[in-house]
Amino acid sequence: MKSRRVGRRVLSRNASGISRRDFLKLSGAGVAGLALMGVAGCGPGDELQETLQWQAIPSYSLEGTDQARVEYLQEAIARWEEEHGYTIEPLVTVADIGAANARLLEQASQGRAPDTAMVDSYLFPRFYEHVQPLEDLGEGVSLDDYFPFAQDLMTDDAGEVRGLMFTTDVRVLYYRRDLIDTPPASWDEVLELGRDLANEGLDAYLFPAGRDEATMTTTVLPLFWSQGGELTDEEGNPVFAEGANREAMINVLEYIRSCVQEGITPQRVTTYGLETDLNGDAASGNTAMFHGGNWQVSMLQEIVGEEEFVEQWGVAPIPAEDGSSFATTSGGQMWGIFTEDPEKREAAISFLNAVFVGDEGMTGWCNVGGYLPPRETVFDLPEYEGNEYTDSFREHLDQYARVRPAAEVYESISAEMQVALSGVITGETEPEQALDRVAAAVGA
Amino acid sequence: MMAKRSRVRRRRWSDAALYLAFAFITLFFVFPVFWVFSMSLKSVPELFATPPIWFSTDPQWENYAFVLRNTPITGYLLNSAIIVFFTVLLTLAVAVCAAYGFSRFRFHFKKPSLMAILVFQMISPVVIAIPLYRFFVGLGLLNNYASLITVYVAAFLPFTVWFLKGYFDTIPYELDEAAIVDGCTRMQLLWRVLLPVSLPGIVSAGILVGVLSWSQFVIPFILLDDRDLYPVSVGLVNLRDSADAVTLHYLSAASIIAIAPVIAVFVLMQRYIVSALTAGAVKG
Amino acid sequence: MEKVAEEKAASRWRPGDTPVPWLLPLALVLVLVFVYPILEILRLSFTDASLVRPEYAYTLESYITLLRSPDFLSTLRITFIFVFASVVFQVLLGFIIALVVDQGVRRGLRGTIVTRTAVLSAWAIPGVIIGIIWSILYEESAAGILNHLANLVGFGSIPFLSEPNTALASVTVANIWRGTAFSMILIYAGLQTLPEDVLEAAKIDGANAWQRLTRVMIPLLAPVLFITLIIVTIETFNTFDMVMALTGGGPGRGTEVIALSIYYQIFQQLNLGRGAAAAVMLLAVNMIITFVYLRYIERRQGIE
Repeated sequence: MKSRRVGRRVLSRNASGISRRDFLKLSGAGVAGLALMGVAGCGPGDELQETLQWQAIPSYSLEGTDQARVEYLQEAIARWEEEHGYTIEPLVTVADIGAANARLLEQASQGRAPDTAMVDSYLFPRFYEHVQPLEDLGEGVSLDDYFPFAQDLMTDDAGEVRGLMFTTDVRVLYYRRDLIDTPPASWDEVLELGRDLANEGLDAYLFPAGRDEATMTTTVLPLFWSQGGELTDEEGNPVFAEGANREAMINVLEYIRSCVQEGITPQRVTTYGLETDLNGDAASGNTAMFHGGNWQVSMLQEIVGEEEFVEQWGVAPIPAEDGSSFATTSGGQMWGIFTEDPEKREAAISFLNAVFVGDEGMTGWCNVGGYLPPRETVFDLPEYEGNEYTDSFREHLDQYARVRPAAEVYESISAEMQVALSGVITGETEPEQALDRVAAAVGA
Repeated sequence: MMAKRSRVRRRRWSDAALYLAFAFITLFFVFPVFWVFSMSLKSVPELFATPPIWFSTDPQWENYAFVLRNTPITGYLLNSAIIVFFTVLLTLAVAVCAAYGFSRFRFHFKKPSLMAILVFQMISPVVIAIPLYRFFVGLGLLNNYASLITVYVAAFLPFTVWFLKGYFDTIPYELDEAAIVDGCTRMQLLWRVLLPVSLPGIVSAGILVGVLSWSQFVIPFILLDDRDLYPVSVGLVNLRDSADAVTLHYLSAASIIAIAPVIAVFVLMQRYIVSALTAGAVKG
Repeated sequence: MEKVAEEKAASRWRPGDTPVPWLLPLALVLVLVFVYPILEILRLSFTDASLVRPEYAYTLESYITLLRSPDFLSTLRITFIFVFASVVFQVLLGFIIALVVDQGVRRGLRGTIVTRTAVLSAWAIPGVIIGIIWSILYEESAAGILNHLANLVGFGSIPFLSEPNTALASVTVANIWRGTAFSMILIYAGLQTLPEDVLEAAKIDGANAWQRLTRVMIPLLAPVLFITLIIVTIETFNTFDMVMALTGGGPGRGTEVIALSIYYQIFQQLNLGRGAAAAVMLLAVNMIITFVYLRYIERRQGIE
């Protein structure tokens, strides 16, 4: 089943132009919400006990659809509240991460952001100017604990720490151990092995190629980066359609086209916009290899059974053009602290530390959610459960992981590339032509 | 005798053909909903079983409890109910007056104004919602039910006015005359004489507006961005967007919960709905 | 009928008795909600405005880019195919179902009510949910139900949503599923207004069922059919919720209808100017259809 992001990525890369209007808009929201829904007023100041606003996307909140995560949060929050005499006021955003972050940016630019809120790590640089600098990262946490790419995201240009990363992820190649002895490292090996597997009637090699973000993070970028390609330059201008980058991007499109044309990859990948859309195929027993995210392990174990999955599936780096310069995409989630009240800031750090960031918090949350800890030191804690694949994921994070560019133009590049890729797969456009259209559309 | 028998036989055949048609039509329209219902009761491994399982061997009613408990779907349904209620009420109030004006008065520019109203009907909500989005942002009216419902009302008014005018036109003017002789004012006339006899037409207009506003998507999708205010037509999009958990069974259950109230209304009121709709008949 | 009532009303005209207060609320709401946005969208279509930048300049660039862009032309083509097929099948199927249900009611067959309710229920489901429902049905992996059935019958796997042409057909089928009930209601209502005596007369004259249908019923129903056609056409041009939930416009732009494209232009690409220009195009298409409709009404009223 495909799940598609349909929210709107409006707004506010330009904070200065919208502050007053948006202030009005928000108060309108408040009034309408209270008047029409009969929601009990719960703004700050309503209660005598100190409250701390804490905002997350639905699947990271008390409203999530995963029972275990919700239970963990309920317990951990209650425990912290009791110890510190604070009340947590949980706020939940829309599920669409792009829209949720755009909205938060808007609120932040008017000084109306919640005390602490979740921000997608690749968008975090846009929040540097709005979040509070952190001198103390909380008990037992230091910047050096983090993976290098995480340190980069957390630190602003002036070298100040601005956010607390609390989960990370990585994309890998999943392959069937019973069908494949050595996972393919280069594109040629994929094609060669793929032909054999396809001849046996298998769906040899799958990846997301629909109209959503995973097409970019899990398919295009790892393949593009493995050839040294860059989407944007230092100033954030798009350069993916020039020179060597252009060649690299065309190679990616051609490689994917050959996979489809040779029957190694079924055309239905154009309906998969998220990694999890591949779950059905992975579980069907008819798929030999696929690009996926680390978080799919626990989902697939739920579907096919824990041991069966481990027996069947291995992980390897996403194949690189030359078979050695592997690259992959990492993302993850961060906490930004917006409140200017020093006491609340301290409370927020303590809260986040206890539930998400500290040794105990991070192991707890990553265990229950199947996330990877962005603090490398947490991998070594005995409490961190991980799974059969944790060591591989850690290695990939260490050696191959990169993050998406923070440039504002990234979102249009991504949207247009998604269209371009499926156009190439269905044979409607030639790789060159498709890339030219992307370039024209984003003004590269 | 022969003729009669052959007629009876032909009748049987055509009845059988009709039943066959019923079966096909019902299958086509019920099957998708049935399948989603079946998905909503499956366990996670069953969702992905190949070949697909027709019906869970151990129906997970817990899925429904979970959705009701853990997602804001009841809030979405409540929001929808509020929006539909006020939209129907206000649309009917304005449309009844206007339809009365068009049906019982003669004035210059009557025909052009009726035509102009029709033109509004043809304008896509997406065309008006986008400038309104910016406009409302400026005025602080975004995420505000009062402004949202005004837009709904405007979107459904042209159709409703035409519908009701057509209905009023079918009511003999003798009724009006008798009332005028009795010394009724215009308001009394409308309220005491016209409304009671045109109730079926008004009810059917109400049903149409109700259904249209229940499934309206573009307007709230653009003019609301506070998820607590979403009606169910927009809220469901949100439930589907979860990248890191298996949610198909929950999404299916949520879909069933979202459509159950409407189907219940249709089943319970179905006699009434159809007779109201046909009584309202279409007028050119 | 209308004429008579009007004239009588006129004969009772009393001083100070004007329709203005009765029409004022309507005028107010329509002007308030429609007029400003339409003027604004026209103005914006001649600018290079972005949703996030406050400054902009006036230019014809949006229209030029739009008309030159192969994407836009393909969007138009897709939209027309989608609308045409949806409308034809919705009205045809709506007509057939209305006839069948009407016959069922007349003969008192059991099951009529169930059929009617099934059709009506599909109409009352919000478009997004319909999109979700059909995306579950169209699932292309081995776990998908329709593909499973297709395999059983021996069709092999069908690329419901991954091949542009098939995807367009799949989206259209889902739209037909959604919209047929509306046509059915209007036509069913029209059937109830047909004069019994004319149909009886045709029967006595020895016309068979097919002749009665094509020579008597359809001509009598022509006005209703025409109105249905127009309303359904406009509705289909303006819709995008179901498509968005079902395919998101993909694969590529294979199912990106114009209303969806406007939405993406503005809220994803943030390109207000180009989105507005596309919106004006949609407006123009709707206006042309409305114009045809009005001409038709005028002609009919002339005849009567």
